[in-house]
Amino acid sequence: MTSTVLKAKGLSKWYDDVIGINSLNIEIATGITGIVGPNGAGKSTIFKLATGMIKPNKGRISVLGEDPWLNGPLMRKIGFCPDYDNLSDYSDGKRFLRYVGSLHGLRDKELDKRVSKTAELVGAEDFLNKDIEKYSKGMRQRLKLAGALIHDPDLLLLDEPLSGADPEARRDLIELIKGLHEEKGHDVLVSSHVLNEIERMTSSIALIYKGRVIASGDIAEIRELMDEHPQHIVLEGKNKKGLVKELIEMEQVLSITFEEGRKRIVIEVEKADVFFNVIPSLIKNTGAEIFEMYSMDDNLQAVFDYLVGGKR
Amino acid sequence: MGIDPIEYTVWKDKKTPFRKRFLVISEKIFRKKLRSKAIWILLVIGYFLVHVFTISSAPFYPPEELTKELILYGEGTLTGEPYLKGGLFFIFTILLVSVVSSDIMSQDIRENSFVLYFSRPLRTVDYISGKIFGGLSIMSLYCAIPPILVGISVIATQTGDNYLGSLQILGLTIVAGIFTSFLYLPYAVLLSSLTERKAYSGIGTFMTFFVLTIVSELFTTFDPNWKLIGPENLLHFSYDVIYGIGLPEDVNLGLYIIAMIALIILPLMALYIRIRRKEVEG
Repeated sequence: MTSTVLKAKGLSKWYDDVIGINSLNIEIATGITGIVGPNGAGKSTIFKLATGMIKPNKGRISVLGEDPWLNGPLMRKIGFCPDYDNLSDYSDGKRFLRYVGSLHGLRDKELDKRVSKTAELVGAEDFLNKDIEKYSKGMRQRLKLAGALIHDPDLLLLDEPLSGADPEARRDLIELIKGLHEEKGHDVLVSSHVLNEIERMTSSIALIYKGRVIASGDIAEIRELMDEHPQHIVLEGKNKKGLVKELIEMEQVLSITFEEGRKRIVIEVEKADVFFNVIPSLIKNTGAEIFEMYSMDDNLQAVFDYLVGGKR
Repeated sequence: MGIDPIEYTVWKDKKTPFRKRFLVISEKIFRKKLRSKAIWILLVIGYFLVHVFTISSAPFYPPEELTKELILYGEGTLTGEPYLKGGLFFIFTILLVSVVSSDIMSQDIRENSFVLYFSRPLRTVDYISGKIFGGLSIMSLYCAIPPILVGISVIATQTGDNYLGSLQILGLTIVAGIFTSFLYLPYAVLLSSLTERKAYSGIGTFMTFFVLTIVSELFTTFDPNWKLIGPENLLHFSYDVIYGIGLPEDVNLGLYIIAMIALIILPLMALYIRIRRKEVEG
């Protein structure tokens, strides 16, 4: 197997006058890699290009060393889980898996064995024979994942596999995806618009924004990049007067804003990692009672705002 | 969640990626259509009105042997009504093809199921073949199997001893049956690939064939070659070719070939381009 599972150079795809992917350059190594970007960033277009479903207008893409366009045999090595489901044509999960397995050439006992193995792998064995219309979103996601795994592919392409799933299902799916690489050796390319979810699966990410890769590499590096920019930290609680005094003295604190009748304070800080190291002892020493602390910028849009600066 | 080892690894380049894969799609369509009430209603009424009397007449009214006249015009049967060249046979054929093909591709467009197929080791040709063969398998329940049963029942009860001649006609009937099952499918499936709504596809198919039949009838008085735009006439002329009768003298062979290309080859080409474009559109 190659050490690069996906490589794109100058890759562009547009739909009439709408740009899906814009001169995208990316090299994705083996392991789990997260493609992170807001809705409409071009994540699904990358997956469609990688599965040969659409043809690039410019540039090149290779998956497992091969051009995916009109390359049916390559699909034997790829398992694709799209971001939407098309399960309505099947009465139960087993029928869906049997059909998908048949499309890969599995027959008879071989097919039965793979269906039950894959269902077991994704934790779908309990509801496999149930009416598909009664499936929850999490069940549907598991079934789709099973459909992508049925032929035991080398590379899994998972487009928003956690979308719509409840927190418990998300946790299970994240563990499953991690296990698919760590225990099964599948390489996984997974997309999400939620950075935290990807962070729980892998440290290797690529940030996509408006059809371009704006940052890629280890998530810690992305975090470092974020730390170079001011972040907004929210503190909610009581007895914060002493704490606020101390915060004002801190070099990293740029401003403090009171909200909701002083119940909530928003602190603009630079070098957030230093701030987070210091804040627990400050809270303890000043006797403040903090119920909740979170970063307003710990969402993807804020990251993109930082990374693209004023170019948006 | 427990992760169990996958004991079985499928692909090591020992299996061909494409061969016979289209049959999986055909089988699914066949099974699905057999669960359709509309299909069953058409099959039951069509069998009753078109086939049952012809099939069951042989034991009561044994002919000397199986002839093309019996199969095409019902000569020597209990009813004496035209069989494969009968108007009812044609009407039920276009009704059935309209219903069978209505959602054969429109559903994939509506639900974007193309991803299901084209992220697998399938080619566009496999996908189209699968859909067409699926439709053909259902069509053959009405267009091919009953005439074959007629042939078998006649041979089983025939009074003459020319079994070889009867078997030859039976062979030609098999060809005619499969041809009838296929003839209108390319156009019908093409219409299904152009819309998300099966009603548009089904009604569009039926109306196209119906209107062409009417137009053909109207203009034939001016020039006999207008017969060639009528789908019923094309079917009947094709029977004449299959059974070795030859085209009627007033019909131009070149125009007949062009009409057949327009009914079969052009829709298939358009369908191929349509599906490829649909893939590109994503």
